[in-house]
Amino acid sequence: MSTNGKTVNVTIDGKQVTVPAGTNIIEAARHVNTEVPHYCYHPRLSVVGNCRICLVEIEGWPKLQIGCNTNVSDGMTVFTASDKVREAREGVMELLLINHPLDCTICDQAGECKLQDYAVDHGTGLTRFAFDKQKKPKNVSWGDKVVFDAERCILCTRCVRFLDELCGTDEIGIDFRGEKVSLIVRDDGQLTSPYQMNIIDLCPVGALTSRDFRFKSRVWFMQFANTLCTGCARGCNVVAGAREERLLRMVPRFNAQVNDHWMCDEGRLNYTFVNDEDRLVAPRVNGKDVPYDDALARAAAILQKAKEGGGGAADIAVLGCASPFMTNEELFSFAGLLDALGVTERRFAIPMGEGDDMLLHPEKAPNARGARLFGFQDAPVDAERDWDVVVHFAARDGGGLPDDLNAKSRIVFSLQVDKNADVNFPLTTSFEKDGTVISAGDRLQRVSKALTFAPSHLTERVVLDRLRGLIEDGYQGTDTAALALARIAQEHAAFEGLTWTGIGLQGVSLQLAEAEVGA
Amino acid sequence: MKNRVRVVKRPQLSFLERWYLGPVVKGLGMTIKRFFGVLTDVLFRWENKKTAITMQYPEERWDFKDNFRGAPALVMDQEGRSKCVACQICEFVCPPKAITMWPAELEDEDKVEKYPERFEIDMLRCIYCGYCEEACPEEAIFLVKEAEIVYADRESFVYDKDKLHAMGGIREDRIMKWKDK
Amino acid sequence: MKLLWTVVEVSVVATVVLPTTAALLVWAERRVSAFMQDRLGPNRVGPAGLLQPIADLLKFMFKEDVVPGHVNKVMYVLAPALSLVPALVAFAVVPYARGMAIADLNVGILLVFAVSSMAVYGVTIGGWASNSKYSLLGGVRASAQMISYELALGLSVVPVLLVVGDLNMQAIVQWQADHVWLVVPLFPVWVIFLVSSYAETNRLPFDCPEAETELVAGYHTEYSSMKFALFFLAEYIHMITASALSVALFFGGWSLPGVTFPDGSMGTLLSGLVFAGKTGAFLFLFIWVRWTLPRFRYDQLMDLGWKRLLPASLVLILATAGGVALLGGTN
Ligand code: SF4
Ligand code: SF4
Ligand code: SF4
Ligand code: FES
Repeated sequence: MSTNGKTVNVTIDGKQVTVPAGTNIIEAARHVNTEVPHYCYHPRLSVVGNCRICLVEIEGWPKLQIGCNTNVSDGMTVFTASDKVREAREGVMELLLINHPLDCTICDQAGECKLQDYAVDHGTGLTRFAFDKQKKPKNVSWGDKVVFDAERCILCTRCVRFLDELCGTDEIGIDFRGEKVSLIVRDDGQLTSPYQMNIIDLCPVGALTSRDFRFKSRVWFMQFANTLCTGCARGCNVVAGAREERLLRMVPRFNAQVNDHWMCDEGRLNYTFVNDEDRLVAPRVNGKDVPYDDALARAAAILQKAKEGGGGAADIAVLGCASPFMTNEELFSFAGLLDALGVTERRFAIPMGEGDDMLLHPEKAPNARGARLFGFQDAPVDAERDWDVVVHFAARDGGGLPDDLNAKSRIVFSLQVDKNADVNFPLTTSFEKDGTVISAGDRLQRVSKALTFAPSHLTERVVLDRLRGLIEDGYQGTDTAALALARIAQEHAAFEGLTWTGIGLQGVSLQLAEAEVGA
Repeated sequence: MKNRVRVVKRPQLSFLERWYLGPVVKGLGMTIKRFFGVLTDVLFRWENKKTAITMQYPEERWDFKDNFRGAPALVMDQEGRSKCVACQICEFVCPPKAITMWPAELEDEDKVEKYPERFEIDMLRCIYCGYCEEACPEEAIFLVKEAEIVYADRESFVYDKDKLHAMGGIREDRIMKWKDK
Repeated sequence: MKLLWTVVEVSVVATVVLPTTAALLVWAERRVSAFMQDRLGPNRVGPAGLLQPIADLLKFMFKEDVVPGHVNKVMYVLAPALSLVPALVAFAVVPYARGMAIADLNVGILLVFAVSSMAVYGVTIGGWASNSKYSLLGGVRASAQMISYELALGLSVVPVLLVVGDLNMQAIVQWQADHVWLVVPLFPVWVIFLVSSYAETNRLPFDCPEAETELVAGYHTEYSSMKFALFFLAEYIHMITASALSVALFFGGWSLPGVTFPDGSMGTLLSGLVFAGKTGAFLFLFIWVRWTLPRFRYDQLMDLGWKRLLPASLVLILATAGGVALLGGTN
């Protein structure tokens, strides 16, 4: 399918369009905003042409052709909605639905199911099949992540092809023949691929469902936010779905520069900490819940003493410890606060894990690059030294600092209660705030709020700005992440000219000097 | 443009009419007729009263017609199993959000996988609109002839699954999805 | 002895007979009105709902007695009493049985007018002291209306006096017992009397002072609990007094044509029952009218009072005087 830079002119439903040679009709139709229905075709998988819903009429061709496996040629005239095409689609829909169990009432796919959509758009709503339906196994476990329902499967083989062509594990095959045909998993029937849950999104119907999300919520009850997976430095684009302020699932969102159509299972399932019951929700001073104003006053008093003592000077030792889970806006505010105090000891730690050659990155945090950019060092903290004041943003597991660190006063931002903290502020997760992070490949991307944390909650950025306002006369913070980003854009060359809307849902690549972000 | 103001003349009362006596007497006749009608009802023909229209509520009741929409209730099939599969469509369609449910998975079934672990209808919120009955794809929820729901505290108005099943009772059905789906 | 008897009589009538009758009247009004509207009315408390007034009373007593902050306290508290007392006093001269009346005055009929014109104070003061626009308008309407109709009321009694030639109530009744009920010769006069007494008692169709549709509840909008109950009671006792007067002046009081009551207390009792029966009929008429007629517009009310009833009663006085002169006067 090499294009050699050649283009062809085609007419689709009366609209002229010029597309690269070698484009198939489904993709060409996208250029004129026409959707040709399709089940088995996927732009990243090989074309098999077995579902037949994509039939279109081509002028001068005696029979209808499938849009997925027919490339356009110069001067071709295509009709995607002629009477002939409609009739053919109705026939295909009727055949696909002949043995369909009509499970929509309990099927998790309902609401985002292509069978439902096309049955409404292209079906007749009637069946002429008056015989007993074919019975096949339902509720088949394919391991601890995927559940398979053979009755709903339309045998498009998207799942088969994904595991074969993209994961290389080739675990699913087609078994039996005729009306008994069904899918089967190799060996003991359990899937092993660390990317296996992508077949749930790939499956155009409800045949594959997620064990994790199963029956948790109907999709129409959920609110969705376009955000990022923050499980590793890759920053896969996702759509996060929440219901009643509980995060319920993540599915990948297409971004050709980052994750294409996919995401790893590890990241997909890495959200439950958001819903933990024992999250810290109100600030605490000396082990007691207090209003924000009191906590801020206490923290400001501690910092004031440090400031008068000369910040990082020898007599009073202050440590600022950021975390790579913070957004750029928070890091910027934190750095600003430390500047105002004159603190020079700025550290952070990156949790490391395993990576692979597909998506998974060994850095298990989204924004190590941002932390470096804003002046924090990925270097061990001097545990021997007696610290007077430590301001610490805990990582997700609460870590980031040596356990035996000597510190007189601690101001800690954490997800769970930190018993050693003098002042303990609640930390929000990336699903509860807006902001930007710098993912692997120096790509600046946005995270967005998918649910609301405790109603009276102040985000860390606001807390930091207020603290600075208490210490530095006349300092005013910003109201929104977008405004904070505008301020960063003024002060950091790397961000010059960037705006919240300019970054968009797909992010932008930054030109960062190697020195700025480190390795 | 036409003149849109139309002056309505006050009716000119004649001299006699301005004493209002005729209509007054006529009116008095009207009311006294009703009076004696009800009086006769009360005294002599209570069982089949003609004029008095007041229904003596606790003793006399409307007999609800078949299309009466009372409180919603869950029904069971002839084997006593709930027909509800926790599809949550009624929860979605309910205008005042009276329905709440917690779906769960049935472990040892292969024909029906989902059921409502808890199913609650807040009868204080319910407006008896019948949308749930209309929307239910499993014919599992019906509005029954039950309209007298009175408690002294709010909690009692939240009916749980057992109570809703007891209210709905058994509804025979040709299809039993447990068996022959 | 005479004094003692009067004290007993007064206390019994003022605290037992009239309030009880008023209570019964409330019950009767609610049931009759219900019947007239094809309903049943209160029928749950006691047999046929007869104990309903007691339930009402209990409710009145246990309601919170709200005194709004913006009222003139002294006047506000005084007004209900001022409207109830005249209603009770006026009853003093009513000849409720043969030879019986609390005060058998020579000028009995004048006392009635003297006292009942005082009733306007209660209403007006109540409306004014409440310091609210609805109450004030109600009070103003009440004073204007009661003063206007008092003229017609007073003048409509003059023919009675012309015919009978005595101001004593007992004498008027006795005259009717001896001759003929005055309603027969003086029917138009009675109609004027009746209409005016409706206006005087602020009953429909002349209840402009408390017209709900315009004034919420008129002069007693701001009243609650027992204070409101007193206004309520006053209205009903006014009704009783007005009915009793109508009976005494035009319908032969305690007498029945062709019936002679035996001497002694038996006869007195019977005559009292007759009087009570007749009064009851008039009370029924009050209720009946109320649930039949709509309220008059205020200008219609004034128009009727000043332009029709007043001239008409003047004409009727002349006519009666002429008649009396021609036919040879009293007796
Ligand atoms: S399970 Fe889904 S993706 Fe796989 S073949 Fe069946 S319909 Fe296609
Ligand atoms: S009847 Fe209407 S309001 Fe009541 S539960 Fe059903 S849908 Fe909700
Ligand atoms: S719509 Fe019917 S089947 Fe679905 S949850 Fe409600 S009652 Fe159950
Ligand atoms: S999409 Fe073309 S045949 Fe399936």
